[in-house]
Amino acid sequence: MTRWQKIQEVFHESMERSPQERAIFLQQACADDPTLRQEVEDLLAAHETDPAFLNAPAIQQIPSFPDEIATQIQAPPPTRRISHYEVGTLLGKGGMGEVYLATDASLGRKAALKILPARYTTQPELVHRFEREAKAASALNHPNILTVYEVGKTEDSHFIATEFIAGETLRQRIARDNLPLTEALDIAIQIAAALSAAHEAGIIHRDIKPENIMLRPDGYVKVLDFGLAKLTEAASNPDESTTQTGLIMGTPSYMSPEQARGQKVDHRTDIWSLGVVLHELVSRARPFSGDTQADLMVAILERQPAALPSHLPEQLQTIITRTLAKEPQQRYASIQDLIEDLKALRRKVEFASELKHAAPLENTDAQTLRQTAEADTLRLTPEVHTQAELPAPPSIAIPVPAPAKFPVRPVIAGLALLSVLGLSSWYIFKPQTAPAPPPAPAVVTAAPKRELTWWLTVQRKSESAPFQSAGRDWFPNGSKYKFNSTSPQSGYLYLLNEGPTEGGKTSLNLLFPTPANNNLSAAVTANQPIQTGNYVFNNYQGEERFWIVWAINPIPEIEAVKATARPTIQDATQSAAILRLLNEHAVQTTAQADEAKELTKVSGEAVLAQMVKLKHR
Amino acid sequence: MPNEISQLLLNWSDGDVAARERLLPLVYDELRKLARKYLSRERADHTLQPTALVHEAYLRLVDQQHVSWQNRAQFFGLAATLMRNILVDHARRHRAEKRGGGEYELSLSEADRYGEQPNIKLIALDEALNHLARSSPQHAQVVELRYFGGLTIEETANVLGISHATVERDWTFARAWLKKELCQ
Repeated sequence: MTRWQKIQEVFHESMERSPQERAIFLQQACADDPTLRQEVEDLLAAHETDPAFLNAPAIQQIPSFPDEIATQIQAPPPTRRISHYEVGTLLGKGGMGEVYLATDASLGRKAALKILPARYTTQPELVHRFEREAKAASALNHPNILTVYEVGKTEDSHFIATEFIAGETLRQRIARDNLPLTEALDIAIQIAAALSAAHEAGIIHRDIKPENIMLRPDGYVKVLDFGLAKLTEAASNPDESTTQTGLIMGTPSYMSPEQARGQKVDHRTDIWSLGVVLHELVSRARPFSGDTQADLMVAILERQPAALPSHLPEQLQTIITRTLAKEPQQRYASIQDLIEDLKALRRKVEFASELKHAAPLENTDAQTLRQTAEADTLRLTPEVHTQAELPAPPSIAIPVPAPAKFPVRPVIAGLALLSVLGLSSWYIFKPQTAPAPPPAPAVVTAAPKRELTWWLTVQRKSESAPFQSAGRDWFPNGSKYKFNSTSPQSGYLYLLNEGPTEGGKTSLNLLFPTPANNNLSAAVTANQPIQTGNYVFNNYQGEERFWIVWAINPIPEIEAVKATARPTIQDATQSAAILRLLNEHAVQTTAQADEAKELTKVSGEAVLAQMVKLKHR
Repeated sequence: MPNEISQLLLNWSDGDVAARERLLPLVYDELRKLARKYLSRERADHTLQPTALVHEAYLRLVDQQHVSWQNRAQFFGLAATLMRNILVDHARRHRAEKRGGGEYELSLSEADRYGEQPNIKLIALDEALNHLARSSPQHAQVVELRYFGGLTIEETANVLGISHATVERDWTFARAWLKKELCQ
């Protein structure tokens, strides 16, 4: 018998005895072998301390997920159903009721569900008219008008189901930070385009205000709630007029004088309201103000609008003054006329900013240059008519053609020279002296370019020194890398990877933000240096597609999954939607690797999305 | 697939060692998938019991009409070994993550990543089990089948071709031995 067998035998025989008998038995069995006795006693003691040791299978002892992740996941709200919609989270709340994110259970699509307070829907014929108008506006199928799916009724309330827009309201955007002038103009033009289409169909909005305008991350502007104002005006409720005048509901800040007086309104009331919005967009202040609602009403009816800050172009003041004429007949006759003026101004502003950016090296008076450019630039940048109808926002529809820079730089050089010579530079812009116009000049995009510089810190083996890479190297399996980035802009950063996993499948993983990286927040401030935790290449064969996304606004599709991505995004539909979105934006993104500095500079539109193929083996 | 795996099992029991090698990755993938499913948050239905993982894999992978109980025993033996690999590997990776400050492996999914705080003692247990195997391979096998494979005493007896009573004795002794080893 081997020692091992001996130990077992004594152990099992001891086990069969009561504790009292055990001591005697051990003494006898191990009489001449104190080591054996010690060993068996230790084993018995081990057994006694934890008789259930290993009884539960190993896999059960692995908690399914760590506490820190668990706390990030909010308990889902109890599901509530309205008609065939599963009501989700509350998106917003206002005088017009609550808006929820909902899922249409029959179609499986997302929707925004606005539940109207009962007081607005007491008169069936009004509800009917509202429904007709809302649907008519929606039926125009205009890219800047929110699509209405249906107006429905449950036992106690009416609801409006619309397309769900992932984005922020113009109110939120104004509150966040200053809008560049071109962006402000672009937003105004898109609102005007929606109104123009509606007016042509005989629909007046009557309640244009920043709360009713949504901005999508990709630059599209959507006007909400066509037809709704009639419902609310008709059901005007003294409760909401606070203590002041007993007048109409809500804030009257965007109300036209004729509306404030309760007179009949036409499409020109929308022109007024858009003028107020535009004023607020460019100056972050409203043209009319008052300590009380009564004072505000007086200002709207009697006073001149507040002047714009002096750094803004005079032409903008002219436009706003015209939209805010007290008498409707003194305003723009149609919203189309307003659109044309806004576009002309935008072209000038863009050209001026192009000059401003090009000028500093030339040692010229940039101010003079800009004014000169504003005075008469249109001859140099011929009208581009592709935008005239504005089927889509220009920041999306019109790519930035490289030749646009061509006419500018030679002219700058010429200007600089003339300026040095003390000549008036105005003449250079005259068509006869200007260089031949380029074959296809175009307007620069309105939305500000997104910019990001990134690099990788790679460690090939745990003991080797990390090096910096622009991402073009080969990485052996097991290499670790960290992603680094910086940008002069603030925004929302997302890092994803699409790569091979077991069974020849591909998974989409969210690598930033995570609980460990930026505390699950995508928000990054200007010049904030970003460095992620280590990523390690796995051993699966295939291509790692690393996605870098740098957006002006949060991307709701990704926000929706960030808490549950671990880091693989579990839901195939959501993954597919995200990839589709990324691929769309990738088309408008350009990247330039600086091999010497091992940096990659990327620029793109409202949503910059770059895909980098990382090679490993 | 079930046919392919069943055939490999049959070949293996006929003494074809290469068949076992080909079988390994197939079973491994399936078990990993099941383990991950079990460990993931989405097991709200609780249909997947931890003890049932190797059974589940067996039902999915093997065409039962064409294999014998010996093949089944072989499969369970193999599956238990693989489960041990998967779980210990999982614990190792988690430990590495703890040291490395949030390392993620690309393209692996959830269970592998946010470490799930696995019982780090699993790694020590794995080492102790290797020790045990040097003294008594059978004891180590019993632990592997019972603890990692989640098999019953009966199934373990079938797999190892030993009596029910022997499995019980070995299981008791091995647990005491491991406990003592780990406490030292």
